[in-house]
Amino acid sequence: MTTLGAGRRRGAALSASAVRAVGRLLARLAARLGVCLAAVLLTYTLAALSFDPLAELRTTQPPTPQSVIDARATALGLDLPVLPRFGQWLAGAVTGDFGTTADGHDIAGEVSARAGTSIRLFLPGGVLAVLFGCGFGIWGALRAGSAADKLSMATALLLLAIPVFVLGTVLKLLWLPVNEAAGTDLLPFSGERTPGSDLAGWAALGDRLRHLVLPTIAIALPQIAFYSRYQRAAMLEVRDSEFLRAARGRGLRRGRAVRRHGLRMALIPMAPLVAFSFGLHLAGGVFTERIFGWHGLGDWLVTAIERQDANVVATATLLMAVLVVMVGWLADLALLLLDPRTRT
Amino acid sequence: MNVHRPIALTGAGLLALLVLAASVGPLLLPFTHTDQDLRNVLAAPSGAHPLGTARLGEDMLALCLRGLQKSLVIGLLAAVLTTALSALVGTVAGYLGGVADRVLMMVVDVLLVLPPILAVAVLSPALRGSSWLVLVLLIATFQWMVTSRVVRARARSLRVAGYVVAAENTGASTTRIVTRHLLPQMVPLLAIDCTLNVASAVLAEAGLSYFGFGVQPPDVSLGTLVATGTGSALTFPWVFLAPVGFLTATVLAAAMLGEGLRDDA
Amino acid sequence: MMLDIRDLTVSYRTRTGPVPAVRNLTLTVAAGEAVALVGESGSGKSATAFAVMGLLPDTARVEGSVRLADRELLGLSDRELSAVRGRQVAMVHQDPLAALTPVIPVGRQVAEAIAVHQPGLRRRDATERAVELLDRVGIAAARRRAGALPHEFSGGMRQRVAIAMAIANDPDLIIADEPTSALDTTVQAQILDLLDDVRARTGAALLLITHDLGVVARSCDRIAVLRRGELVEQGPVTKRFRRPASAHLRDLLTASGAEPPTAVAQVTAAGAGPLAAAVRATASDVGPTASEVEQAEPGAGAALRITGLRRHFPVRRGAVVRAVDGVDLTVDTGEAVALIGESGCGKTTVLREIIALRRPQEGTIALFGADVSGLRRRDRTALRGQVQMVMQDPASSLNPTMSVADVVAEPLRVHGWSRPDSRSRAREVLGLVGLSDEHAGRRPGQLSGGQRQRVAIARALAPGPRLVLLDEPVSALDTSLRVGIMDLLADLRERFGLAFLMTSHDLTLLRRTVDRVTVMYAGRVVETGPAADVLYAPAHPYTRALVAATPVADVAAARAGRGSAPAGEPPDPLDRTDGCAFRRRCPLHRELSAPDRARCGQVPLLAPVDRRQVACHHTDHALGGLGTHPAVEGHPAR
Ligand SMILES: Nc1ncnc2c1ncn2[C@@H]1O[C@H](COP(=O)(O)OP(=O)(O)OP(=O)(O)O)[C@@H](O)[C@H]1O
Ligand code: SF4
Ligand SMILES: [Mg+2]
Repeated sequence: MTTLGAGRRRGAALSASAVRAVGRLLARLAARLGVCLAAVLLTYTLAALSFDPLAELRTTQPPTPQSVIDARATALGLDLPVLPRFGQWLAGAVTGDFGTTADGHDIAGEVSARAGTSIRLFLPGGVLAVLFGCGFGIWGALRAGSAADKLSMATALLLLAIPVFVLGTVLKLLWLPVNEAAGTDLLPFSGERTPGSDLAGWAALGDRLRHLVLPTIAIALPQIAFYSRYQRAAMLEVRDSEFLRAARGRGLRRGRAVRRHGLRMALIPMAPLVAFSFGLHLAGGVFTERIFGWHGLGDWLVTAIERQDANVVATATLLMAVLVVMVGWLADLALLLLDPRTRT
Repeated sequence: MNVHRPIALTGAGLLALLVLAASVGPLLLPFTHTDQDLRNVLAAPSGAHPLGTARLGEDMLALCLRGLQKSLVIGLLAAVLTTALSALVGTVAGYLGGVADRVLMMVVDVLLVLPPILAVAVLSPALRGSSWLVLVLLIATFQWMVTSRVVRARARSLRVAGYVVAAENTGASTTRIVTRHLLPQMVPLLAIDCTLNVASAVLAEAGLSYFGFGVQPPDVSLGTLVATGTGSALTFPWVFLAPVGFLTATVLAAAMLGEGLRDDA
Repeated sequence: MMLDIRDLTVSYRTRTGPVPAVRNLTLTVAAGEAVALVGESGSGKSATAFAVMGLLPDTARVEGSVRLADRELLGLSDRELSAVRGRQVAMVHQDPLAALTPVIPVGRQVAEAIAVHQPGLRRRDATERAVELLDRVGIAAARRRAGALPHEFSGGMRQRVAIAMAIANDPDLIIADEPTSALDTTVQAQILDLLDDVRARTGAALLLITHDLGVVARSCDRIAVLRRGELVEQGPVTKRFRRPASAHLRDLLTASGAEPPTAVAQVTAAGAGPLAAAVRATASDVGPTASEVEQAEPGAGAALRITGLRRHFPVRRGAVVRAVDGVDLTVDTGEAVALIGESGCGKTTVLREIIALRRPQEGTIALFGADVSGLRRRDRTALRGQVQMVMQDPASSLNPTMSVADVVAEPLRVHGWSRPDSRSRAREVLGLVGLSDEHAGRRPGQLSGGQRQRVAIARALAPGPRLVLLDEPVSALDTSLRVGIMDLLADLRERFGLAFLMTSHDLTLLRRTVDRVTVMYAGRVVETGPAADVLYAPAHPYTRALVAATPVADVAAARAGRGSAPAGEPPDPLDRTDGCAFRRRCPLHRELSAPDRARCGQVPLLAPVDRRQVACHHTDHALGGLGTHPAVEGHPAR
């Protein structure tokens, strides 16, 4: 009877804590969205301050009449202060209308292609980076001080010292002889798929995957180096912790104590780290897109800056920020699962 | 901080060597970085040109040393500025807490959503033609967030440290507490982060220059050299690999020094 | 022999060469026996324990022999050792929070400790056993609480969980490494009682590591004293305490204030019951003479007068911690007053409110007759020099980057002294606390713990204060250093006519240092009066529980106190009880008749009882005819 009662009470407590957890997740999401909007506003403001879309008109020969320039300015909304202009653009953006490019094309049409390309590029790289980063970090910490550990740490340091745009090119440089020897592009260097090919089904998928290999490595390697160093430090701390020693004192073998008691504790600090550093890692993605000729968000953004196209900059930034929010939110979720202390 | 750890020593030595090469090297070379040896265009490394020559026959070594000079100066200045800014923001936020803390940390969060390099890039059209010092300022403006978080965490823990409370109890002013009790504790931490910031700043400059948003021609930096070299990386590798070597060595040296110091702090 | 340690030597490899922790230690524990391993911090106690468990870090080097039930443990593999650990020998760690995995519910951790030695056991059965064990070690509502995470438990409950795990497989030997030093004395007594209880049931031997001779006297048969890694003496506790062979043990005994057993023993033995006779006898034995009482009387005026002080901290979700909830307190010029009570009762908060020199949330604070709320800036600065504070932990209260001289000169600099003046004054006060010019140039890190606390005291003295607040001035120090610091404080007080307000857990030390004692419970004062009365013949049921729980380094007295630990946990600061806050734990309350009991539902106010003030509706029950005690006669009524 008491068992039953307790069981029911425990059930009630569980659902109450589940409700709290969901509430907490929603609150985190709202906070992250707010921060994301602020970041987009900042970029928009910077772009508005920096870009001069009328420069070309002003310098034409013969000079463009002032009235024409004014009309163009009004059309671009340049007579409004930045904030209302951003408001207008944002109001459109939430309904799927991202405005027009500087040369008058509709932006919305390109959004899904660009975002899709970036996600196909960043997602596998990011997931691999987290998996391998944590894996190497733990592996190293458990044999800290050994030659293998020292070597992997040195490699990590070296990888972090090589800029992504160099890494991509070096990968190409290293792979070139293989492609040449094979007489065909085993792993192609550029684009998402072989242009103009009429592959279908599995063959098309294979083609895409082969295009993906080198850029994914370029994106993942520096991140693996980055995460593994933090993971190693976290695991080292756990390895020397009193609770692990106590667990062994109860009769758990070393390995079992680490798996049952240490692993989870060591992974906990990684969740906020991923959330916090993903924005920084996006830079790597931008370079990679340019180097491997993927027409994703990063490529779009850089081109737009070159063309001083504020609307495209804002759109690309917004989409990237949404990506950051989503990753951050996944990290929040992971933290909630890993650390029951955060559930109350 | 133990300066005598092998990794820290190696980093320091390498960095010193690079600084020396950048400052003295160009004086010892028979070419300046603008001299064109038109009979030897895009020549492979040889006795006359140990690192080969570039598109217009410029000596690669001279170019690299010149670029190294610029990259180092930008990196060092930006790192010092970055660290000063983070120390200021971090201590204020961490020690005062409350509203100041919340506002400053919100700013940090906002700036961390997107790669800082993109913010600088967005501003670059407005800065065409201005001095490279502006670039230094911009790099620092968008790079201080990570260190400031570390400093803030430290300041927060120091806020309840016995001696800080003791000083408050004697009626010491906030300025006195920050300058006498908080900052001295942070010197090692700041030194380490400053070193690591050199590495990031050099990388940031290179990245911006790679996209054409950084150092503008005719000036050269390691970033612009790598950018120009990339196109011929598969055909004339030395044009690419030479600046890459210098760039990697610089970043690695700073990172090794910083890490070597940190492991012990 | 259950445990037979021979010539054990442990040293740690460090960057600066090997550091010896234990040297040639030989020690035995017979089956069912309780042996104390005593020594100061750093003397190698924990290294010994971990050497037996085979849990030393990889940087440690172990030599010698450790035999458990005639089996050599040194050199066994991790697999072989893990079959021994937790089954034949189990360990209870010092810090129960650090020793539990933070993200796994306590019930699961206990179940795992059972299942790891019984591979065939079904998960359900292990869980069931875990709940049983938790219940046995005194976790109320064990089934429900089994799902809680370690941080949701109080320190005492966590240590109960640790003990549950230790006895899960009926070990032959339990090693307890300072199992109670992170706990309040009241909870310490409970945990020691629990250890007694489980040993009585399982017959396990105990190796108890402690620095507290009171704990040794209470719980152990034999004692072994370690000093700098070497055994300096061992033998039966009763004999060794009476005739210590080594100077070290003698010093430790003196420092623990081992007193003639009579007075304390009887109060302790009296426990918390309404035993007026015992109390009366005690008071007549040790009560101060009339002339002593005269001296302790209010002098020229109050250095500090607090009325109705209140400090509430809002915490998340609208809850409020009532850290200080209506405290009245007076410290006369030149008087030493102690503030005592369990952890979290608000002692430090009172001191902080005073030193802040700001208008309190509620109530008044007056220093030397001046109300702090009305102070102008200049007056406040002037007053700062008059009131100084010494904090608990000298290791953290001194800035490690400053020289000792600069540390001491700091308050003077803040008050606008010139650099040379403050320097010479710093030298002067350092001399007062027994430090030389040579120390003045060092950094705090280059001083010993006792010297550091002297520096902290010198810093407080530098501006020439008249009132010094001391927050646990000796509790971070090794026992043998405590007496020295307390004597120094007493000496300084006398020379400079200082008034002291000090908090402390160590009632033994207070007995000889302070004039008056104020006891706090859950943010309120429950008893205040002359030290001799309050500490030797406590009137309030809570004070009595507190005094009874205080370990005394006297075997007979300490053992008599067994089993009399006050029930219940210290109050949850978030709880808001109406009526007497001590009601749930009050032993007197339980014995009262129903109508009397009902009165406890109202908040008791401080009311005079002979020379003191007590906040209990039923002091008459507790004290009987104490009011007419001879020692009190002829004493001007309050
Ligand atoms: N800044 C604060 N915010 C919230 N709660 C606080 C704060 N400071 C103290 N408290 C709480 O107020 C209560 C009283 O704390 P205080 O430090 O005065 O206790 P104490 O009697 O000195 O205890 P100890 O013996 O452990 O030193 C505790 O429950 C404590 O957790
Ligand atoms: S008032 Fe009642 S509950 Fe409170 S201490 Fe006195 S007897 Fe105990
Ligand atoms: Mg306290």
